[in-house]
Amino acid sequence: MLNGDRIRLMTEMAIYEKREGRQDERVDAYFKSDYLSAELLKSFLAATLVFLMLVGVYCLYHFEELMLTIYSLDLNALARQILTRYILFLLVFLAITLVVYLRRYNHTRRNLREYYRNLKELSAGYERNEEP
Amino acid sequence: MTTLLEIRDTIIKFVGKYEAFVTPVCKFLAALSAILIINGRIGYESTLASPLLAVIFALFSALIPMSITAILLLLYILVQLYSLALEAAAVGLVLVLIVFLMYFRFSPKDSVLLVLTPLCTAMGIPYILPLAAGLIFGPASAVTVALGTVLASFIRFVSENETTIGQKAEELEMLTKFRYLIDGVIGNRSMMIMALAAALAVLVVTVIRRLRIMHAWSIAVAVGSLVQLLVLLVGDVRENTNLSIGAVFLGVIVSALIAEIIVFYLYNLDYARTEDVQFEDDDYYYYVKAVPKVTMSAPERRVKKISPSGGFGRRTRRGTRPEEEEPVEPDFYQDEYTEEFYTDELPDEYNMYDS
Repeated sequence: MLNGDRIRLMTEMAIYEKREGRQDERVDAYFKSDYLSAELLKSFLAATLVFLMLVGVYCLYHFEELMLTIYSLDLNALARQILTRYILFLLVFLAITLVVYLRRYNHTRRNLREYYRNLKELSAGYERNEEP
Repeated sequence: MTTLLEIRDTIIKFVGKYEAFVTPVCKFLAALSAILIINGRIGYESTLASPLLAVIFALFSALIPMSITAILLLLYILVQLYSLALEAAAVGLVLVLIVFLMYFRFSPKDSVLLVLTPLCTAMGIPYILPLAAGLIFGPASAVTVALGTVLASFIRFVSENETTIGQKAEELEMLTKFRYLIDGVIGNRSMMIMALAAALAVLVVTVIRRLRIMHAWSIAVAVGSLVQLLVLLVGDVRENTNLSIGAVFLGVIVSALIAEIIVFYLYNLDYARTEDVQFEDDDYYYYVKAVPKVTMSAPERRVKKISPSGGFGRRTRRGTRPEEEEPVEPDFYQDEYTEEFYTDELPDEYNMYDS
């Protein structure tokens, strides 16, 4: 027999599976800490690359002055300055990453919990149907 | 107002019904406009810039996600810049890589803003983008809109100075050209101000739209437009950016009007979409098409009969009353899906459970 409620539930679940479910399941394969560390690592690499690129552009831009003053520069102070900026930049970017992906992970967990609850309800409905 | 609401209803119903066609067509138009305008600005490699290829690209991007279209457009810009001058491509590459690494890193869902940026900029109404971003997406779209502004003004800078940039250069001059381009990006005060105005407007619109006040959406649009106008004007006075005030005014006003139309069509509308899904259980295969019901109903009309049919002169017999028309209950605020079920029971020979 066709059961309208059950079909409604299944449709809802199928729509979720189609839209977000597959991706959510991939996220859910990780523990929260693993997921976040992987994303933070990726962000670290991305931020480092961007920073190196910016430094490169800066050097090219000031190429002539750098060539003229390179021997009189206080390289220690310069390195310290660059390092401070790098760390600041990195911290900001990592903080943004952490916030974004923490929210994403929690959202995924919530979706999947709802999905599994629906699944349970669905199978309970089938069992009820078979008993009589 | 009633007519407007009815038009709105018709459009929403139409889009809901023909979703599978409407979305690709919109994507096609957005991609086509973007690539044609980019070609018009920096179409230096003329074989690539042919309209036929543009149409093919647009057809292709009707079928792929918007974020991939945006990425392809960025790569295309790089190729065109390369055929003008290596240095331009290098600076463009740095910009694009920064966008990739820091922005696409978060796999954003608002890439459509990037794809629409060339069209809106060419039409002189880039101010619509922050308003729409604030209304439809969230505060994070401030980054998208600002990036779009930066890219658009870089392209404009290149196309305005193409003779200088395109000159054949010696080794040493390469650095000069490079500096010139970097100056064009970083030293471009008006670009900075426009990006700032756009980002601020997105934030303001998002915050106000979410307030629990009457007409929050319209107020958000108005305040967002004002913020853009103010930032641009103050920036113009302080930095001498030589904005043409009249164009800015006109652009902001037109943008605000378009944003109002967006508000009218999207306000309070659950953006649920038509879905085709298939699943099965032990007994059936289900092919379900779920169509979201329109939550706004057409204005209800009640016809109150004053005299019974037959006109004014006829009297009713004493003791009987003219029939009263039952008011028809409008079926609004049922935000569920209507479902059509197509189930086919398989013929017996396929049924392996029965044997």
